[in-house]
Amino acid sequence: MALTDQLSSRRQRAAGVRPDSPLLHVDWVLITSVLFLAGVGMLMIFSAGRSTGFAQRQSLFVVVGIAAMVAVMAIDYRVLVDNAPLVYAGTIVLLLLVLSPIGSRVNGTQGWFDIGPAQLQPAELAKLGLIIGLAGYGSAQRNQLDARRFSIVLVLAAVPAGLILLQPDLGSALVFLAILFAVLWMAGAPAWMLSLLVVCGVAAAFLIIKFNVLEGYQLDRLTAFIDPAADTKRIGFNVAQSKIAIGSGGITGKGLFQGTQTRYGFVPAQHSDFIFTALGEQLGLLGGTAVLIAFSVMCSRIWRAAASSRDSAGTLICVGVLALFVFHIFQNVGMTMGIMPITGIPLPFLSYGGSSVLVSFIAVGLVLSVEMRRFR
Amino acid sequence: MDVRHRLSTLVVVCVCLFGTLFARMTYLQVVQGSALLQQAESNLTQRVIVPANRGRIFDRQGRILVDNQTVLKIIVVKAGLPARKVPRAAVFDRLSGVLGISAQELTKRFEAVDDLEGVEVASGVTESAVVYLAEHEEDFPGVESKLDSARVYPQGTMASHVLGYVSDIGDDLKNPICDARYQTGDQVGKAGVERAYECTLRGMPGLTEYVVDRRNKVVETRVLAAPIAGTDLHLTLDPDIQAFTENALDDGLRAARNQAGYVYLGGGQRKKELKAGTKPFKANAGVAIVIDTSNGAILSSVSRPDYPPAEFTRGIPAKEYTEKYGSETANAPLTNRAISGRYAPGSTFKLITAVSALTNGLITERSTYLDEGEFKIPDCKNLKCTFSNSGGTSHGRVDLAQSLVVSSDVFYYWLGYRFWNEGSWPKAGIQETAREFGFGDDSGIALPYEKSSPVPDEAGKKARHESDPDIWPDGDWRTGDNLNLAIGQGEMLTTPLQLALAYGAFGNGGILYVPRIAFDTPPNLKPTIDTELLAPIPTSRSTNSTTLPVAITQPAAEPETIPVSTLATSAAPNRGANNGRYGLYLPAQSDTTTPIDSSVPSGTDVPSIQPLTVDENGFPVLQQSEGTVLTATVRRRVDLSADVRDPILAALRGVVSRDDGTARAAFDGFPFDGFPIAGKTGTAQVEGKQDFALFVAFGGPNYRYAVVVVLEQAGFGGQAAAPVARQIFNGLAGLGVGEVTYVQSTGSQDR
Repeated sequence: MALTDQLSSRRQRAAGVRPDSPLLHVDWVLITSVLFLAGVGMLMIFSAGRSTGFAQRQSLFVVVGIAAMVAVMAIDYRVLVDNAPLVYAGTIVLLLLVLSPIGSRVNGTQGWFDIGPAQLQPAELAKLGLIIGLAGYGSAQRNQLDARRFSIVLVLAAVPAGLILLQPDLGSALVFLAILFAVLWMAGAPAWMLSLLVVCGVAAAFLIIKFNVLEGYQLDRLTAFIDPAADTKRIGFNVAQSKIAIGSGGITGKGLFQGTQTRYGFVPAQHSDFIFTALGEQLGLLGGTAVLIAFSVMCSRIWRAAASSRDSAGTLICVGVLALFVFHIFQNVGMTMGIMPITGIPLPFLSYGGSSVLVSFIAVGLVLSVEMRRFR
Repeated sequence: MDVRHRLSTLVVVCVCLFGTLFARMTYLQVVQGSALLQQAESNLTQRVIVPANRGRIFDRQGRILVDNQTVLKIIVVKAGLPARKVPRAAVFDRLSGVLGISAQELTKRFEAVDDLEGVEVASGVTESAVVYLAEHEEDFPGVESKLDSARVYPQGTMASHVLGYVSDIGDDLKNPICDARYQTGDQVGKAGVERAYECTLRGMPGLTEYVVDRRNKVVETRVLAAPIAGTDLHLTLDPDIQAFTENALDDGLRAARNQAGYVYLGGGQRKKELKAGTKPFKANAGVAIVIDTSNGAILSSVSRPDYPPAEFTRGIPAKEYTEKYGSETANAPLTNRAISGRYAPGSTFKLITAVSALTNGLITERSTYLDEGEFKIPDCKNLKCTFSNSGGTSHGRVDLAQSLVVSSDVFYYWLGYRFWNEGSWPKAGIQETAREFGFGDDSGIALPYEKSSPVPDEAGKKARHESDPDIWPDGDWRTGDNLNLAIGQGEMLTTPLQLALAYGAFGNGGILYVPRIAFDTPPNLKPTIDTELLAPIPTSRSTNSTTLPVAITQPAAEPETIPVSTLATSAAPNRGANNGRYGLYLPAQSDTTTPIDSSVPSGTDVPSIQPLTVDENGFPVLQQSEGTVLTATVRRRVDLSADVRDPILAALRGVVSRDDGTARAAFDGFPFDGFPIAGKTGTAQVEGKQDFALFVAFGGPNYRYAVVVVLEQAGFGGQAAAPVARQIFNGLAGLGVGEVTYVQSTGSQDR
């Protein structure tokens, strides 16, 4: 730390910039890892899909996402924290609006805004809204969390989560639980509060698994967004095919465009939720490891930002984003390998989808904003 | 806990989660990698057995009798259909709209068969319907189309019993006829040459591997083994002879049905119903066969009633099948009476008794016996001691020749009595001669369901009695039994083919041939591809198609063979693996399937009778397709000296030509010069039925042709059967084939 500070001080002086200027503390490692992941994602979407349309649109999403990331970096996160009630309220309004006739329904889930040719999923944005809201509330409370404050935090999280469950989108609601858990942990919540959350999480997970076992329209609704054309009664088939695809890739993979499982449609949603399957089949253990390492690097840099933040609001934001990403990664990759139930949670930066890409980049932007301002 | 501590915990959690993912990934890709790769391969590939085009069937002139036609079929697979009732019914509704078959009917057909592989609900579907179904596949889950090949019969029902038919393999799957891969839904030969030559006709199915995507769309096709088309079969049947034989038999049956009939009551008594119109003959079944006595080739074979073989290709509902083919009134149209019909030979058997008596020295050609209308067994203790001629007619003093010409029963009763009682000759001399001429055993013709009966004798009767004394209370062979045998009655039964062969052997000087229905065929293909290709799919990613060897094994050594009619044309000395021996029969690689053609005749087409090619003497010659070979097989050489053959031959010629001959009237005006004919009438008595009329003859240059005619419940042999044979001989001699005229009762009884 000391050495890098000295080095940067020398550069600051040479550039005639103040040593605590945020521009000098941009985390290029984090940005590189994120761009690498987005690049791999576009490559997979291109090679596993049967047309170039998805890959082209994904490039556009990535460009928009990078722009959004830069924009968020430019905003001082403290401004956001100070206006946390506003951000939070905006999120709630969006979630309410999407349930109204303004929102549109896709595969049984009332969760999209049609904006021209693109679609926006407010549930994705709400994850960020919750992070900022929690950080704002958490940092404002100087004292230890007590039962009253804990209740308030629970309500803060429960309102958007409840609205999302109304869509219904159980997967996204579970993400809220993960973020809440991590933020409370960092805010120094006592064991009983966390235990209560764990109980809630286990109950929710149990519900998901039970839904997967059961047949019926709830299951259809839960799983329809994975692949509209897929036979929802054959969830087990999808997971088995995904495992076959990843396993058949072996150590070196079958090569780009050679993934028979993904190309010939045995794996559902191979460009979105099951993008990791396409990766495992085509690039094998080597490709999969490279992506997991890139995710690890990304997470370690976010953790570093959390640790180096000069205030608790920054730490809470970074931890919230970390929880968001880790939950997404574990749940999504675990699902493709058959160790997690199927929920429609995308793999950050890799999965096809405008809202997911946009939110992932904004989240990184938030972390970068915190980290680059650690000295002032 | 301080913030540092809590941050460290986050690291631990993250490392654990990422570690889990990495461990799982390594497990799948390294530990389970090859197994899952194999699963991925088998996901993609489907192996389909590709049936070979079935060999076509030709007559001896090279005209096509059985051909193939491609048909499109619609298959419904249960697993693909929607599980719930309403959407499933909707699929059938939509399908009904496309196929023009009612949804009820489609559902009924689908539910009639419980086959998870798929049920055929429609056949002969138009190509446009199939294209529509393919383009709208999402509306037709579980509905598939299949290209299949079906048999067509350009000659209608002609020679249907010889051809046989193909239909669903059914129970034959458990007990396959050939060493070839069969699967559910295959069409196999069920009767006739279709069954007998199943192994050569069928060819060898191929194997194709399809690479498919999730929706079963084929993205790549790999031919692992190309199907080898079945071998064409060339029958010995002559289309012209077959045509006029069929016409003559139908004509003869029709003529008999216009006659007043009578019922045989047993004991030589006939219920007199001879007045016109009282009770016509039923004449509801019959057989006519023409064989080539020089090699055993069957030139025509007709059995009535018959059936249209095309019906079986389409499949017949069980109820309709019973009604048409299984009921009493239907009178067993599926039975080929030429080889499966067991008839008492009646007086036609006198040839055998005569040969036996002369050979064994009981009589000479000059021996005589006084026929006073009946024969009394000397010192008789049995119930029945007197055996009389038909109608009690007295023929006076008869010698051997006269006994055959006028068909005296008494003369043969006398011989039968002497064989059994005198001890100077073999007691079973008649049976021995009968077996010499091929009675008692299958002829060995390559047609299924041949039914020969043992020649009745002492040992057989005893064995039968001991096996079940309640049903057969009498186990002793008595004089009466030998008397009945001598005139071809009692327990003596023969198929019409056996009769034709026996007379043919007598006509050609004593060579009993194994009858042939088809020219030589190559040995059966022995598949070696099956086990190899059904092995688990290899894990290698090689997509090259493999050529697999097909071994050809030679058939087992045959009995004595003599080449009889090797046509000296260019029989191709060098035709690959078979060294030209089976020139024409090398598996045809060309496409033997004709495309869909709605103009294919549908069954009623009777070929017109073409004028025969004639030799320098004006007699028709048998034609033969180029390259076909018939290697005749001699079953037995009958010891037939001139002392025995000549007098009997003269007598049999007298049957058709002498004024008192029993078949004289039927052959009135026939030009015997240059086309000699010798024959014998017979009337088989069946209790409770009208008489069965028989006539057997051989004729032509070198007695080339043997003809047998049997008309069930049609009267005396000379009245009903001989006129049919007359028209057949007319055809064989190149004369005009005319109407069959039933011979009205003459002075002598036309036995």
